[in-house]
Amino acid sequence: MDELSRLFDLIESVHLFAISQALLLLGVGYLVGKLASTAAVKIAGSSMSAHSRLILRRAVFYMIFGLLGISALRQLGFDLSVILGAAGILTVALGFASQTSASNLISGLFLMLERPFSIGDVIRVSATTGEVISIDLLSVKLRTFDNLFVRIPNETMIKTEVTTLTKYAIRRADLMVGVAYKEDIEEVRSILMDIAEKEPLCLEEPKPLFIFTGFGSSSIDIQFSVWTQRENFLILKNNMLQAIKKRFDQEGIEIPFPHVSFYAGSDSNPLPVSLVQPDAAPPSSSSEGRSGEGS
Amino acid sequence: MKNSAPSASPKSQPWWGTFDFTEHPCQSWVLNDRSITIRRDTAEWKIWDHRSAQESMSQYCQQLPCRPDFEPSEALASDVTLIRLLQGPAENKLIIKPALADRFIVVSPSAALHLLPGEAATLYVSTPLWFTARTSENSKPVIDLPFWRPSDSWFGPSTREGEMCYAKYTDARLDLNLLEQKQHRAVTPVHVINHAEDVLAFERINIPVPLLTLYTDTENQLWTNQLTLTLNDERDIEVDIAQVAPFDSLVPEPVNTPRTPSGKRTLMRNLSSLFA
Repeated sequence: MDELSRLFDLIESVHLFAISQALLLLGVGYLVGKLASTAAVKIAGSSMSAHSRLILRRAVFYMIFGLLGISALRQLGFDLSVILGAAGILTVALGFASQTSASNLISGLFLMLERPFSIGDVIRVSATTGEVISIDLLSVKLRTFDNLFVRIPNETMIKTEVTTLTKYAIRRADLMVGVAYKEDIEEVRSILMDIAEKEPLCLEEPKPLFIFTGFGSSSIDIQFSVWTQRENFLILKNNMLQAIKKRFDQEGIEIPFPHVSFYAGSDSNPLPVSLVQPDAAPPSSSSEGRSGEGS
Repeated sequence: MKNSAPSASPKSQPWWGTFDFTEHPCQSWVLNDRSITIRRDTAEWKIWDHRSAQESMSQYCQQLPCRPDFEPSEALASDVTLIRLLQGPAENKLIIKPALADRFIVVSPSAALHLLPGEAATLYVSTPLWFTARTSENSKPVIDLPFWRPSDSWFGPSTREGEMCYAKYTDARLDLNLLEQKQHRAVTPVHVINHAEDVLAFERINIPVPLLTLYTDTENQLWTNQLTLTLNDERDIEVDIAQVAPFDSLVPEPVNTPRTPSGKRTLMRNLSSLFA
């Protein structure tokens, strides 16, 4: 009996009951938070976007877990007003120690509020293009098209230019085409328009755009811009470039590669050119084993 | 608007209906170079979708039996797509139906039209049809192929706002007799009423074909119910979809129901979503 009372005294002295209660509250908070957040997402159903569902799930979970966490602290005998006061000092200390993390955290909040893109969108950040798979408090995770996982800190996302490729339903593909100087531009234009008309993925409206961009070093440069549904962008670009090459070959329109012409100028003498006859009998030592070369 | 549809040639036969593949396990639907061939094998349906570069000018779609060992020639391989549907040998019937396009279709008259205030006009619009097949009356189509896939297009006030639709392979006439009817197309009467104070000028109309029902006449040409577009003020258009066949001479039972059933007979749309 004496031993039992000493055991109770010991338990009381090390606050074992309070700690157990606090741990229980945290455990219950975690479980209830998880269940409630999953239920909230299920109730919201498919009417919400993936991005909104993620925000709802986290908001519900952290709210329930936070409330029960505060209750757990009270069980342990902490005075919350003191903790909040200490948190102010702690925040300053932590702020100096973890400037980058804090910056990412605040940037993450701004990203969630501003919503320049959502989960599932395809974005381009600097040289990286990929599908957004997660928007977290510290970073955004992308899956690139060669199936790599890229983590971009939120601070970078706020500071740099981010292009959302899947914002609008239609996109324009700008095809750069070069034709030889001898070609008739009107004919080239009508051929390109005809190719666009025959391609069902190329939109009738907005109409294709033919822009004569300039006189290049080896070719007349043309930008031919066609519109398509965003999902068909790469297919259309590929189809159009193949069709242009095939049709230009059929119509005899030259697609030039860079040429270099030697010109001596009108006031100077022409470049001297002399025809050298091949040797009738090349030296036997150099010709052995190399028949066919130099002929 | 109740009058008579112009008579078509008596040669035309319906290409839709319930087809039994027991006697003829292979059957084709042919429009010149364009054909869809369905063959019933032991445990599967094989469908060869043979596309052609140009739309057929043929007025009729022919439904013909073909050899039970039908295989498309190697030379046509690039234009033919094979679809295989697995189904046990018990079922040998398919319900073939024509269907209207799965998106709105943009129709462009040859020149811009100007409808004066207080006036009304009826345009007859011909749009391409899809070939659909079901295994039972209430099931979803297992085959849904356009006879000619129209070109994609965008209809809206800007590249940010609008909707995807189809364009091309359409025809619009004020005089119904000038419209050449074909069995792979359906004609929609579009009645436009201008109750606004200003002239209604438009170059293109966006026809909500997925909301329309298909009817047939005694000559097996296809029609849709009438669409009445009433402009009351400068912004909103009242779209009224008739619930009956457009002419008394048509068979009153529909050949196919709308792709997108709408509970409402009258819809309100923004002017810019239908006229441009």
